[in-house]
Amino acid sequence: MEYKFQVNLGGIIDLLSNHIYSSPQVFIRELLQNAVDAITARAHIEPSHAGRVWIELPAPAGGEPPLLIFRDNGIGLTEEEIHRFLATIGQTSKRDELSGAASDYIGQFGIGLLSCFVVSDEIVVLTRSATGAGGTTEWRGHADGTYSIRSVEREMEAGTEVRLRCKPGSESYFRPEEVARLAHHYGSLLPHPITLTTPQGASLVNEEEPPWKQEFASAELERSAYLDYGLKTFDIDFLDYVPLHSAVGDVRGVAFVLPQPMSLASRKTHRVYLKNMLLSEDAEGLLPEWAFFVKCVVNANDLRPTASRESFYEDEALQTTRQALGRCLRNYLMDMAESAPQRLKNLIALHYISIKALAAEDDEFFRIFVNWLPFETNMGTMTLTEYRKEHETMHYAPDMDQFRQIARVAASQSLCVINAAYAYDPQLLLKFQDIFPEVVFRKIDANNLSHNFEFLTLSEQDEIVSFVEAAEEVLRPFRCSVEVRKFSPVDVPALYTASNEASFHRSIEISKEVTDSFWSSVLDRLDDQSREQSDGRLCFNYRNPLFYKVSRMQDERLQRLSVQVLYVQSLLLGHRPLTSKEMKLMNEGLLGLVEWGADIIEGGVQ
Amino acid sequence: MSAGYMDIEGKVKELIDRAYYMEEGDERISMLEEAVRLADTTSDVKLQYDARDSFIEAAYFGGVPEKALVAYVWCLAQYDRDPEHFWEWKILWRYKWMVNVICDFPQISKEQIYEMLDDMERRFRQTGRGLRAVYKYRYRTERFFGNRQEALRYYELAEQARRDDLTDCAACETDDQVSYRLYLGDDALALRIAEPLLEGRDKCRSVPQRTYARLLVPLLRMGQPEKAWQYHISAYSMIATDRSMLEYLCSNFIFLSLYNDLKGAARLLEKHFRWTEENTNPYDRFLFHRAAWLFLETAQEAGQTVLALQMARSFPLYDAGGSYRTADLKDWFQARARELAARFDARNGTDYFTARLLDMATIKELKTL
Repeated sequence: MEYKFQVNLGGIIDLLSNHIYSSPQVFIRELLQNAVDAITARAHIEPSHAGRVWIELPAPAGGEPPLLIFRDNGIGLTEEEIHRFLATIGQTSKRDELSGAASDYIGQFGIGLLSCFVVSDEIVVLTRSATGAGGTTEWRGHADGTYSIRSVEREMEAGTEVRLRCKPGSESYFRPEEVARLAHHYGSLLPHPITLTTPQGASLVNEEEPPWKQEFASAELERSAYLDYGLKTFDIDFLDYVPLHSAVGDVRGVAFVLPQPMSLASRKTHRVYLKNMLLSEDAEGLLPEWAFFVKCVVNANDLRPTASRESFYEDEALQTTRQALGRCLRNYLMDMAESAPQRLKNLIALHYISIKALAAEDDEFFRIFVNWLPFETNMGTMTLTEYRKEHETMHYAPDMDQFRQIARVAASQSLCVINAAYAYDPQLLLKFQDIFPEVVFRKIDANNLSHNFEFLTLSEQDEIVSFVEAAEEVLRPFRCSVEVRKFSPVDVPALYTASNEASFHRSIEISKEVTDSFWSSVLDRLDDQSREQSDGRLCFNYRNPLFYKVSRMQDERLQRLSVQVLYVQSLLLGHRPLTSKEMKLMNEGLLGLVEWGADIIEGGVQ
Repeated sequence: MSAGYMDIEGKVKELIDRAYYMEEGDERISMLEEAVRLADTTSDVKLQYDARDSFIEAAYFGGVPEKALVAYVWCLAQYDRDPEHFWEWKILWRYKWMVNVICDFPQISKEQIYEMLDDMERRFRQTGRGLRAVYKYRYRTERFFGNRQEALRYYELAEQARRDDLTDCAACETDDQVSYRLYLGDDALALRIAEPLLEGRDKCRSVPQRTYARLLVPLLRMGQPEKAWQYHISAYSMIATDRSMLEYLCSNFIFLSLYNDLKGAARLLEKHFRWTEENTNPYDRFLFHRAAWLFLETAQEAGQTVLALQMARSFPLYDAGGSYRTADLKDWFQARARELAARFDARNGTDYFTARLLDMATIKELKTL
């Protein structure tokens, strides 16, 4: 014996409204979908049939809740079909029953009509089939899961009419402005005329065709039509537009060039339609990762939506489509490089990160755009081509930290250093090397920069022997070695340099200061034991007047205090956080110096 | 002084906000590294904690888990000092990430790993949480070590334990079941369980890409190479830029060799080898070198004695002309993989990693023609 589950329709509706759909307003989308699918089905048997959809909001009759009437001249249903489709959850007249391939239809999940229960306790469907001879049938479904069917004496054209009576709490979805907004929102691209009739009059919801479906007499007209469309759709005054198309996925649309720079950080979302019905306003993953300088409106006839119907399913078709759309944008840029270099310059000023991202993965593109892409250096922004004209060897700093430490010092030695800390810059530099193998590249950090500093003469070294010994003693507990060289600018008394491993070690030290012995032992294991003995190096500048005085101080205590303060100051200049040991060192140093100053004043007064 | 502090506080918060919306990766990590560095120049523990909290996530999902751990240890210590001040749930949730990744570092001893798990369990118990997640991670640990019996026992315990706010999300739990069935050798059941994930009905940050990847070899075993190819496409496009998924990317690498797409495999090697160098996670490196070895052996057997590859300049065998003897490459990757296997086995006290290298011979049998 087989039994059937009793399914609680109320519960299902609740689930639908709360989980599957992002909001109750999608009932308008579902109704539009049903209408369009019914029209598509009718076109299979009557190819010349002109489909239409009517939405009507009659003036409310004294105290009655508002009514919404949704009508199409599609295929309609016979009584037998009504039983089969409307009464069975999870099945609509779309899957296999109707003529044509399943992919001709928008709805794929057969829950369309149910979504109406989210705003209405009763759904009335009046329908007459275009196929049979039968008359008009009325189906009444209730939110508790019951329904009734009867034949009604009413002359009606083939098609389906759905009547929804507003349920308490859903009034806002029945307001004429809201219905008009939603119908336009979801259906503005639909190919069949949708007429909305309210007590204020009748209007066409989808009067305007999207620009990619129109023909234009001139390039100027096309341009203004596209940009107007962008302004209307996104309320953004875009810089430019790029028509998009892909044979795979049957995609048409447009990409608008954003008028402000986008950061890598922002979400890149687009407005996408599936078979001309709005699928999502914030679909992701439609374009290649690099293409974040545009915002798109796109219709796809042949991509698969995800179950939540918010984006497309990640499959081979989507991947190929993405590549094709990427090519549209790439060609746009390549053409511009050829025909409108000044416009390209303006575009790059805004969107160079996005364009760098493309250049990083596309050799041919890189070769052309390397003449355009800006890089930050310690002597201002320039392109790699410009850099190469001026300098034989290309110096670059691998990260922000290093760049900041050395920018000034390097500049005063006329060393132009590229800041390669930004996204894609390291990859682009590598590419540049591959393409121009004769160029010498040198990574430069504070460490190897200071290797170029001028050495002291023997007699100069002799002068400061005792200073170096004292400084080494002060700094040994901080795993910092000491050196004295001559370098510019003279107003820098000392330069602290540390390697990357040292920075990691430093972060371990900071964590170990607050944690217990167990975690300390774990962190010790992570710390690379093979690392050099010292984590950092403090390089004093022999040319600096302050250093000159400190190195010759007779008062040993005073000299030690000065070294302490110079060390901490050079850490702070490099924006390095202090460990508590270093904080203590700074306090001792500062307080010691204050005390010493106070002593002198006191001595003077006496 | 106080104006200066306000500036720094504002700057730190701005960095955290900006990083929040960013894609995973180096730039996000260095932005938050900067936030931590700046916060540490103040004495505002809350600010330091918030910066680290964001940094932990970026580092963990950006492929530098050891940096995440260092920051986590700091946060945990601050939390223990002043539990009222910080969000208990979050620090416990992050704990799972830490135990998940700690095994990947063979320099961490077995005792230390167990002590971490015990500490985690203690904290879960103390805050009234169920032990489902704890058992899950004990299972993963034992599985990682190669202690099959213990692993199975903990999985059973996990399945019996209740779900709560520290249990992994539904998509991850299903993916766990898939992984477990594969571990038991029931490919068909694993595939069936994976269905809602593969169809995109349940998903999260790392599922279904993880699921796709782990099913590639089993699908070949089940004689469904075309399906495997589809899943490979889906998985690879989702993880090709995600360093924290290198472990799974290695399944794509193995798959390409078995599917005889040697060109595709070579491109993957060129593109992702650099990750293994920049990424200090030895387990990821083990898997990548193992997969590279399989690729090179396959190429060799296909008669390709010389390969044209654009390797990173830092590759020890780097050749400016981009020409490599397949045998040399194979030896190099094989030696590295063996070296790492030996280190893991020494720490784990089993020979599981060496066995996983030997298993490649069986996996190679799955080659499609």
